Amino acid sequence: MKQLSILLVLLLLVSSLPVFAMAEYGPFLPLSSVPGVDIDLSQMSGTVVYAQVYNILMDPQAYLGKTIRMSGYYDIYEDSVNNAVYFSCIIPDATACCAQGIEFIWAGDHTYPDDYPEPGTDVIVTGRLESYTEGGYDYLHLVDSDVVFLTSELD
Amino acid sequence: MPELSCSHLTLGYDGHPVLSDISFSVAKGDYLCIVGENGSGKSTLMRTLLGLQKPISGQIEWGADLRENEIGYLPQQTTVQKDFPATVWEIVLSGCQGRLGKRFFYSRDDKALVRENMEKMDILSFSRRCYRELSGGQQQRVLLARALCATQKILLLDEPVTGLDPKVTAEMYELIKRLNKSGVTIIMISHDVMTAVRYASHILHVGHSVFFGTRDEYTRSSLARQFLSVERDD
Amino acid sequence: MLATYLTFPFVRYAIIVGTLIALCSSLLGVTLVLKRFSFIGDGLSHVAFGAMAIAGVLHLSNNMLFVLPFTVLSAVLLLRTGQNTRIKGDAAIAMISVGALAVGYLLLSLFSTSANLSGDVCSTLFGSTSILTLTPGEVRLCIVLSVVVLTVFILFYNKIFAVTFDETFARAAGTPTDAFNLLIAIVIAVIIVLAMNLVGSLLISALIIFPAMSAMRLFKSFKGVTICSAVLSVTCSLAGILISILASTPVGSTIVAVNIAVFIVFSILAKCLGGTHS
Repeated sequence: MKQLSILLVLLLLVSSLPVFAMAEYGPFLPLSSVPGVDIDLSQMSGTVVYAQVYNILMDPQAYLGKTIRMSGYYDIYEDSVNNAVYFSCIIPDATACCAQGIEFIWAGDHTYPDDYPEPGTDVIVTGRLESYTEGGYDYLHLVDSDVVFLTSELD
Repeated sequence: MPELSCSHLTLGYDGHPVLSDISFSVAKGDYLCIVGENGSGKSTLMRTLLGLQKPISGQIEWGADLRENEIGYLPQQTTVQKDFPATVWEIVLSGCQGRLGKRFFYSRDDKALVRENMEKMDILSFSRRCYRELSGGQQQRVLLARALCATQKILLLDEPVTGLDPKVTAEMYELIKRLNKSGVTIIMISHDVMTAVRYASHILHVGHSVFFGTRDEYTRSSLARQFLSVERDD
Repeated sequence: MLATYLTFPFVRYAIIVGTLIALCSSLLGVTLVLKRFSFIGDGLSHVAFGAMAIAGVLHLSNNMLFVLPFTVLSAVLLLRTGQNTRIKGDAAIAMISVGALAVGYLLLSLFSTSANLSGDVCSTLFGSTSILTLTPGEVRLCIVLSVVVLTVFILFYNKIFAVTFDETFARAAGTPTDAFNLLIAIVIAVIIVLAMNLVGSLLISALIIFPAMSAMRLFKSFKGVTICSAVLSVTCSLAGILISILASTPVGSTIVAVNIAVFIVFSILAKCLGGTHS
């Protein structure tokens, strides 16, 4: 009985050690190897990227103004009421039942639909995270983005 | 002062009596056998004595020297136990659970008691063995040792020889007799009237007609003659 | 690459919480299997899904605070029906569990304002990445509940063994078996709510039962089985979380897959060794 209690307590301690080491639960900026980029999500495992994007969306304050580089697939949302088109970089999760995305604004002079490929094309977006308000709601987007579509025709 | 006295007991489930108006008493050192056909209410009586269910009417009084729950019980094996990963030691130790009281863990005294009772049942040598790997007779001795940890005074045995071969059955009966000789009061349920008559000091026969008395009174009764002759005819 | 991932706070929290949940869920596995309580675990996991759906419809800020009492209450009710000999216990549980699943989904599809309904349902059922997206409040709640579950288990280890091995004897010896059955059911409910974060409500039973079944192949003492299943469960969950992070697989199903692999290995080992350890 004694051994059992000791073992269980040990397991408990070992597993909760990182709690003491990491008392703060705040924003986290992984090291980026690309100069000028604060958070590089393009080289990471899908599971981690999904979780990191989730954290950005849940706690955007900590990430505003940071330059984020992410890869995913590109999708559009056409708002027929305001007659506007939104572009975003979508990241699906591992179970492929959930997806989340961040809207981006391509830097430079590009017109839709001529300069944009088919929705679903793989894309790498690098841009600065900003928030904006529209119709009473807060939204996030990557502004001044460098966008690379991974298609042969638009190389 | 009887160890146990029951007066005008009526037992059953949900108000439907299975047994009515049973009266008997057990004195210290007695060996009472409860016999009767299957379905005659033997097990219901045992469950009521253990406090697992309430009698419909009547009274059960335990001797003054018995603390509450100080009854050793040898139940019939359940299907759960057939595949249970537990050592002999762990099972016998669980017999001390009534002694735990407000404590969480077993004391040195509890463990000494376990060792003593395992020695008595001659199972100390395989205390580290797994229960489910033992033979039927060995398993019954383990459960008997556990029952002894709960009490040194009174044992309730529910068909203790079910599924044992004749040789082991005889050994089991001898073991129970030895315990009785050492001063432990025995109450045993059995459907085997022959052995009951051989070992018990008192017989309680339940069923359509109820008999309670000493063994000699029982063998002289018409009820027993009827039963014993039927068994001889087999 | 792994070292980089381990610097992410949410990865660390996933590992801590995952380990704790795995530890807790393995402990009562043996009791659950041997007391034929597995069906209660399964039923409760579906009830937890229904509760989650209601919490989602009500727009509660902290789902766990609603789901936990709801599931515990259901555990108490399920146990009551299970003990009632007049109603077929397993049929009642099947009705409740499937009913909760259906009503939960119905409520979600009728009232949910979420744009991604199937995504919500899927992540509740299979866990998805919820272990990696815990809020600090959820992390704290998980740690507190795990510690409570562990403490209860260690303190009542002897009684839990007694009630599991032989309930009739335990009652005759004066142990309040009904109270302990209730305690076991409540602890199972807490574990299920915790484990929903790790593997989702459909896979919880696997997390509870597999480590115990694997340990029972090789070990023959209750203590041995308990310790072995705790170690196995923690190891499998750690491995599962790390593999899913590296290979981009769903966390819950990866953990269960590792558990299945270990079960197969242990079954083969048991066959080869023939004998067993105590």
